[in-house]
Amino acid sequence: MKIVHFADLHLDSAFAWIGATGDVARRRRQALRDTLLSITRLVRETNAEALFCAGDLYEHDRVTPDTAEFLRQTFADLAPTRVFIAPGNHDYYGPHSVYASCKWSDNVHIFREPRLQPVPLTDGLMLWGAAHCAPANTGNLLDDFRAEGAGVHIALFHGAERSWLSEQGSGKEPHAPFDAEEIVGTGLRHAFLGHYHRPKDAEHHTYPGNPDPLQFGEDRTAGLIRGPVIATINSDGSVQRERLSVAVTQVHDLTLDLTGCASQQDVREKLVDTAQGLKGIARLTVTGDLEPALDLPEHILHDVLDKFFDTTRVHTEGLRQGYNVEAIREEATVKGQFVRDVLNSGIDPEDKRRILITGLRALDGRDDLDVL
Amino acid sequence: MRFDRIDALAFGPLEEAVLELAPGMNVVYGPNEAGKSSWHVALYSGLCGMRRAQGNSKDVQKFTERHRPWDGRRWEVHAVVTLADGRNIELRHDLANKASSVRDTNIAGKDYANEIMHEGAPDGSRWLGLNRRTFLSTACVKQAEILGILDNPAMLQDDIQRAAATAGADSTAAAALQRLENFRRDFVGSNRAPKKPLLQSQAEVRQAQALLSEAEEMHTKYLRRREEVERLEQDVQGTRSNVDAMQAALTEMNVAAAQERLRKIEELGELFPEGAPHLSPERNSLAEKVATALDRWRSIPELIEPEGPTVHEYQQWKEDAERRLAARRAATAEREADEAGARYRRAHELATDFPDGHLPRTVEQERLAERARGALRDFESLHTRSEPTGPTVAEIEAELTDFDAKVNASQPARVRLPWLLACGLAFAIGIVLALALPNYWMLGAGLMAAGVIGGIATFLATRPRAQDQLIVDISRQGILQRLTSRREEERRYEDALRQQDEVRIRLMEIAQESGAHAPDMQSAIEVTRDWLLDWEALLRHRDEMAPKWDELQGLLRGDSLAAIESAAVRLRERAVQLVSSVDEDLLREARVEGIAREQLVDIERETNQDIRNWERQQSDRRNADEQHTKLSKEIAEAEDRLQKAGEEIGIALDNPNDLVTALGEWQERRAQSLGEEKERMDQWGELQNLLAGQSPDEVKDEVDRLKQEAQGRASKIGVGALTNARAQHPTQAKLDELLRKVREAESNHDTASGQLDEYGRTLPSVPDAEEALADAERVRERFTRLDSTLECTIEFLKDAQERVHRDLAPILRSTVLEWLPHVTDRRYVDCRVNPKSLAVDLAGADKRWRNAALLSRGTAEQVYLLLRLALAQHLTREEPCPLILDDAVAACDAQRKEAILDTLLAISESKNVQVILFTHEEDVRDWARNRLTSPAHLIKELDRVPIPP
Repeated sequence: MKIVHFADLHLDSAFAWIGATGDVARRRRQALRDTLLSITRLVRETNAEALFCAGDLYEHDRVTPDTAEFLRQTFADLAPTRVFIAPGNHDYYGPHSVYASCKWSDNVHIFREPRLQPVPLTDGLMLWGAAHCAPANTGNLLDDFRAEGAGVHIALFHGAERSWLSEQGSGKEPHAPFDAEEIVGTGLRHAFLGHYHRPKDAEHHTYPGNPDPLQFGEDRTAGLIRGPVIATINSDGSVQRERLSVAVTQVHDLTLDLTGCASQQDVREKLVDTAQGLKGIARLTVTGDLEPALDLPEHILHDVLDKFFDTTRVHTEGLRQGYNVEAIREEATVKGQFVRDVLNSGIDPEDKRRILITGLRALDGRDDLDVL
Repeated sequence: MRFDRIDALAFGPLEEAVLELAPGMNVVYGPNEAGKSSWHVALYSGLCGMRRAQGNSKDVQKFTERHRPWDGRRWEVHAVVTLADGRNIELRHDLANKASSVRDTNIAGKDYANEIMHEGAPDGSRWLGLNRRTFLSTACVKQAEILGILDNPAMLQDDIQRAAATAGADSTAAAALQRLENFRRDFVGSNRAPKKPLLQSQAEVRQAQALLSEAEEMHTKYLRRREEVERLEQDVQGTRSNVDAMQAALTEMNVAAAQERLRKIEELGELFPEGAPHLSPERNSLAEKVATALDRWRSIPELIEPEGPTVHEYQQWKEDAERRLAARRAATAEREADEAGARYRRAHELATDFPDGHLPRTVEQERLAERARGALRDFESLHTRSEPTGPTVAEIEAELTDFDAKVNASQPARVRLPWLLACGLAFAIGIVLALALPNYWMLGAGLMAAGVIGGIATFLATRPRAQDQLIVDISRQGILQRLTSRREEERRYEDALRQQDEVRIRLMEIAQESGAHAPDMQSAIEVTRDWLLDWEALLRHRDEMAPKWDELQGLLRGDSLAAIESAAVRLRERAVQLVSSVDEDLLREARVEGIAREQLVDIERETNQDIRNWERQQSDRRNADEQHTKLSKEIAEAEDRLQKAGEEIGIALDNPNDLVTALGEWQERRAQSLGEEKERMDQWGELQNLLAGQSPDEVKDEVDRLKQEAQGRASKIGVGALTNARAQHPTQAKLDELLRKVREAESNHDTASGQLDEYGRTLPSVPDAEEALADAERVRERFTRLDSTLECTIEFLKDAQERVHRDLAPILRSTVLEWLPHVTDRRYVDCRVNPKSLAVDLAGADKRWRNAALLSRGTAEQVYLLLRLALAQHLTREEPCPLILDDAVAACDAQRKEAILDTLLAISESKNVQVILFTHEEDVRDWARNRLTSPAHLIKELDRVPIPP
């Protein structure tokens, strides 16, 4: 049986993380919808017999009536292909959830219990699914579970595989935590999962990863593409997987070395070269030595970036002040004393950099005191 | 450090030129266009080179334009310097190719470039702790700087501060702080500047937070409403399920009914294999005649003969009773007329005894008699009181007045008061004399003693005696008692006279009312007594006439005598009339009966009641007679009909009852035949009703269809629901009620759903609000961070300024003090430097402090040079810094110029500081020729630089 599996689309997510507001953010949310349409298109093109969604399809706290209707229509258009949804912690099933209040077409099956429930897929293939019914505190769905009966048993749910949690970065909560060994131990042959945004193709479980970017720095993990997984489930329970990218949003991590840039024009030209041909969302990390004489307000960078990208964030943690502070600190002047005091202080290096440049510029008689 | 030599291989207009310098004071003299400025810059460039950091600053570009040789092929300068540690180092700067080398001239190959690398190129000023920028400010003294001090005294302090802050290269620390404060105020704002970015960004965050809270709240409401709509939809589904179950149960019942119908159709159909039944011919009209005749006969009630008195008898009784009653009335009237006549006659007889028509009247006389008896009693109870005798009241009062006057006249008070006043006056005068006139105190004391003794004597001599006072009081009391007794006697005498007078008036009035004339009281008493005797006689006569009066009144009964006479006449006339119209026999019988009026009333009531009863019974009997007659006719007619009906069916019997029996038997036979036919017709009709226009096959098809429908409906609902519906005994009414509930639930759902849609259209976007908040927070964070950065910068800078100034002030003071007496020819011997502002004050022997910038020009210039020296020494730490002066004294007069030059020479000699003075002035050259005689000093005279072709 061939299925398409995805998770963690996070429709109606806020895009504050990229600093987007208004129309830009709304375009990004539309991109998430376009991504779902790409996934359903993939289902049709591959003649998949079912579409699996392992939760976090949308964000309960932000979901709009229009999104609910969009989901209903999109899945109804997929009929008679069956759609199986296992709600996650962000789209948990509850009496006022979209899952409970939307009139889903007959081809859509939503798991509504916080314990694994069976649904026969084909003769000899049983799908077990479960739902998060609260935004937190969902326990191990494999506890006290045993897949019994003839045939192959697979599962679809939203959960955190414990051994991989530490690699997910800070802020990732262990919702419905379980151990990979429990999958086979409970009689399941494979678990199609959601929650971790980093993709993983393990022997007995699959994390597809978020199909459209939700953070900067979402690079490939172990060469795996983030996005829907086309899975063929064999009669013996083995699974062949193929990954395709359907991401609509492009996210770029750019670096701009300001060393040698003596004027704003130098910076502009260098930045144009860096951003040439790119679009979407960008995070620009400015590095190198900032020429002391160079007045470079942040908006100069945004002026250039806005021509290429929908929205951008600028980070300056890697930027070094162009002043020869080692020479200045030796001066028996107020300037030297100032530099020595700042360098000897225990404040944050980035703050230290800003204070040094601000003070030195003031002592130089300059008025560009809003330091990048 | 000192410069030993400069090789201007190619620098500005200089080419392959060498400038050797002495370790002490060097005066480089040359006219205009001799290249002094070029040597000056070459000196600087030879030591510091040129920055080669990436980028091309305006300063470098400008420097290049000014000092690169015109042909541009070569641009190179070398400098040889000796450091304090003895190292002799050659710095080579190929400025055109941006290549430099720093090598020890003694130790071949020793490269010090890395030791002094600054901004991409070796910088010899780094040995001094300076750099290319600060070296210029620290070591090079320009003519303009000295002139500036003279033109603007405040610049002295500013220059020192600048040097302290940035080695003179840039701004002062105070200016930098001011710049930071201004920037913070203008571009960030404080917590008290609501229109500035910091507070504005905070306000925008609060506003965004409020919008987000509102959006989240509305979103939560939306989800709840959505849940409510879902619940209402479930209600719809639930009620629809009930409807489906009820419909399924009803369909099941319909199937059962249809099957029963089919069974009956099939059962009845077997009875009519040949189709509809045919009715046998029937003589309906004859049966109808028989039935009518029988019905008519049977409907006639039994004929009963009327019984009791006849109508005529009742009439006779009524008339007899009325005649007897009339006779009794006449007899009664006759007797009443006789009684009325007798009554009148007796009344007439009694009335003659009362001609006045009444008994003697007594009411007014009774009242008068009562008054007369009262007045006589009062008269008889009057006491005879004689008029009082002895002194009158007026006489006794006069006696009391005389007595009081005599007593008062005998009192000594009027004598005592003047004496007492005189004694007091003497005492007062004695006090005044004793106190005011010491010489007459004896006289004063005598007067005081005389006053006291006189007063006491007067008091004792004039005090009243108790025995005399008692006699006076008793005498006066006696007079008062006599006065009171006389007044009481006179009041009693007057009261007696007044009562006597009142009785007299009453008796006179009574006598007058009794109709007698009484001229005086005595005659009034007699008249009154006589009238009372007459009154008592009248009362006795009245008592005697009272029985007759009562009888008369009983006869009259309130009427007049004429009235009872008239009534007697009227009764007689009526009696005569009644008697004339009645039967004589009956009248005699009535007279014998002697019926009274009261009895007659009862007889009349009873007689009338009898008459009414007879009239009713008479009417009943009359109706009964008429009914009997009518029924007899109907019986005859019915009997005739029976006979005719019997003849038609062949029955001829005379006895109607026999005929009726025979006809009834005929009817029974016919009815049995008709019943059998009717039963078949009913069955046929039932069959047709069951078929209702359908064929049996069609009915079968319908049953099959209903079965399928029932199965279909049952399959859509659960067994439990169907069982539950069956248990509810489904009916169409119950189904209709359920359908009503479905419509109601659907209406509720549609309403809520519509409201939800409407609410959803106005629902604010939560992510939009979150993003707006995040954006506002970013802006706030930016300004908060900028504010924090500026605040920290200001604090660091203030601390640095304070510390440097605190360290620098004593250094400046000691340096200035070391030279001050010498260069000012001991006019100033003390110096102080403010550690906050670095302001310099000088004091002479008088210890009066003066601002150094405000002193004479010469002194100010000297102090300035000393301060520059001190700052250079301070800033360059271990390594002595050479002083390079470019026409620094050009604007000074000869005396000041010499003083400055002397100061520089002294500094050079005593501090081991190399001084290099570029000048075009001949007097300076002359001074140098005279003064720089030591080998440690040098005077270098330049020629004009040839203009390149």
